[in-house]
Amino acid sequence: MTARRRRAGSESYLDDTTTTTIVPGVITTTTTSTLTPASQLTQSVGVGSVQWSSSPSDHQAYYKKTDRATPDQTTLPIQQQHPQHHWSSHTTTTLPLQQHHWSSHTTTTTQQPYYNPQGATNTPLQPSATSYTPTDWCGGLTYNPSTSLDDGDMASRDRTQEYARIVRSQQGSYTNGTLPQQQQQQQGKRPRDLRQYKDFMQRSKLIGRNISSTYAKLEKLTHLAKKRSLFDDSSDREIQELTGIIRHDLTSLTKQLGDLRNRSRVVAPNSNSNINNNIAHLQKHSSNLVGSLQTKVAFITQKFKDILEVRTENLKKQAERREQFTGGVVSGELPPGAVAGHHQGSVLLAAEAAAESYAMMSPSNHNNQNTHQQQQQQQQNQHESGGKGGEVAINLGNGNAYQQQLQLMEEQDTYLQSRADTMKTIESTIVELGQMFTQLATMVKEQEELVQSIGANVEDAELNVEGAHSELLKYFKSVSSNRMLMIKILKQLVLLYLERIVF
Amino acid sequence: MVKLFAACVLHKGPDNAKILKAAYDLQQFGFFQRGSVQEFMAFTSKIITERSNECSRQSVKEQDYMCHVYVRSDNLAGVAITDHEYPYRVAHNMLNQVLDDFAAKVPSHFWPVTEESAIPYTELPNTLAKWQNPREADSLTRVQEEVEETKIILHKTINAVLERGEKLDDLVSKSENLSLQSKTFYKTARKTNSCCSFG
Repeated sequence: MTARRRRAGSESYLDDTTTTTIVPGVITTTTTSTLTPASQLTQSVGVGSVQWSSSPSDHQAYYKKTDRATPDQTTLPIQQQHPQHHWSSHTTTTLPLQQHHWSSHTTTTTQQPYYNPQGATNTPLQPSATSYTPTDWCGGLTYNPSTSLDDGDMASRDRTQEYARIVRSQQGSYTNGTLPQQQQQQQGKRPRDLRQYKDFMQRSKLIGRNISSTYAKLEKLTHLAKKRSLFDDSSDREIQELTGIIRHDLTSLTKQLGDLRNRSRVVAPNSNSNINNNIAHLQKHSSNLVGSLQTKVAFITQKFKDILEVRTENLKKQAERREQFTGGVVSGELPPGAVAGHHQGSVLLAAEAAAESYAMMSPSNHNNQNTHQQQQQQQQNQHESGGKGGEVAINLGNGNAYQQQLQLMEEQDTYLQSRADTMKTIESTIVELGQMFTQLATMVKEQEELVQSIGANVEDAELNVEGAHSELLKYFKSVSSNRMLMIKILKQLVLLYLERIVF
Repeated sequence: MVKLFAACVLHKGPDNAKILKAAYDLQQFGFFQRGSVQEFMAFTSKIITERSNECSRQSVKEQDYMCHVYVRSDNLAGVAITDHEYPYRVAHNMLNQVLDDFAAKVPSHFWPVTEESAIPYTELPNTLAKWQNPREADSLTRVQEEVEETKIILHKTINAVLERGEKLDDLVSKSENLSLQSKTFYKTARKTNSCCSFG
């Protein structure tokens, strides 16, 4: 973000210079003509400062122009951009800029070799919080001068033509009174300076990348170290490894920085008085750059030390806690691990961790030294305390107190461990029992439905039978009653018939 | 068969161990062997205590027996001699209990000094008898066994419930049949009734 702002600022600066010719009195036309890159440098140094203190309207225009992100920048790896955000308070944001710088190199070497050095010399200015020349974005950046976009808009339009036009016009305006000789002289000397400068920028870019990666590792270490404060895992090794890696990175970074500083001093001022300003500014810039990189490295080292202190404190606390729980007399019937809800997962690990802490406390007092040794020792200890059996050979009283303590832990552990195991089995059995009860309940519930349906069926059957029974009763009654009637009627009929026959 | 042969309480002095109290259960040894076995056990306990460090528990395998020793930080030591099947944890549990009990009953200044017969601790044979059956004496073992028993019972219950389910299925179908048939019966009866009367 800051980089974009600066670039935008430089463009606005350019407009201003072209239109209003804001030129500090120091720089004459001749010098500007001959030392276009350097002059632009100085101009930017001078005017940039002027501009920074200028009216807010400039800043607004500035900011508006910064809103247009370049596609190159948006496609930058996040990690590189991330440290930018971290270090926005710092002034160095050389990473993406340098990328652009290099793209500018690659793309414009064929077209405008004259502007390459400008790009090379001018990009480092960015860290020093000054505005830049337009050569910054030769090649990679596209840029929209329209001022109507807001902060979130990342559209980019191709303005290379405009840019090239501006550059040409500016160059033309500056080189009106040029003495061709000086220019050629300057040109003769420039490639070498610029090569050196290019070298310098390459290295600083590398250093910047290393710094960002180291910072990422440091953050991870911070996270790990803080996490370990609650419980102890045997992956302390990770922390150790990470610590070692970071330390190595820091040393290499300091070495690279020293190297860089030497190189920047090697860019010795040439005898030519005309370009003295240029070289002085170059040197000033390079020293600024080196200084800022150094502050970053110092910052990282500081943080690293803090983290290591935090870690040693945590380890001490853990060791204390462990001593509370597992050291000394085993009082009472149940082990403290079973009763007190030991803060570590298992007593076994407690023994291992205790062994570790003993190893770390006794041989080396500071974690900062002998990480490798510690690792080895830890591995050893864990091997020793790893072998747990119910039957241990009689301890013949070794001279090594540490090993004795280890074996103490080991033996008590066996007993405690077995108790813990028993408790676990009991607990699991009870849990199983619970599950079985639930199953039982489910099955019974399902069967309840069956029972209900049986009941319903039987009731139905009962109803039907009752109904049928009553019907039968009725029928029976009717049948029986009819017969009586019929019998009587028949009797009557028979009598009548008999009478008829008789008579 | 888990068997506890002997339990001893010793005091571990700076250079030697002294038996403070011991109890032996030598039923399975022949009558004439008992004396020597007892001697041997006492001797073994002494040696083991002498060789063990403070605050340590150990279990040593020796011929047919297992020797469990626990030395406390106050130099009071307990040794239990058992057979191989006696669970390690139970033995140490017992030692813990015995030592605690002993330390509670017999004040500590007695330990280095007095002779075995003079120490007023008489429960050791009882303890030995009690701990012959680890299941009863050790609560963890007891709980474990009860829980497992319960689990077996639950298994049986679930089986029974499954059978019940089958029977219920049977009943359902039968009751359905019954209800259908009764319905038919009712219909027939009604038909007979509603139709023309006898004649």
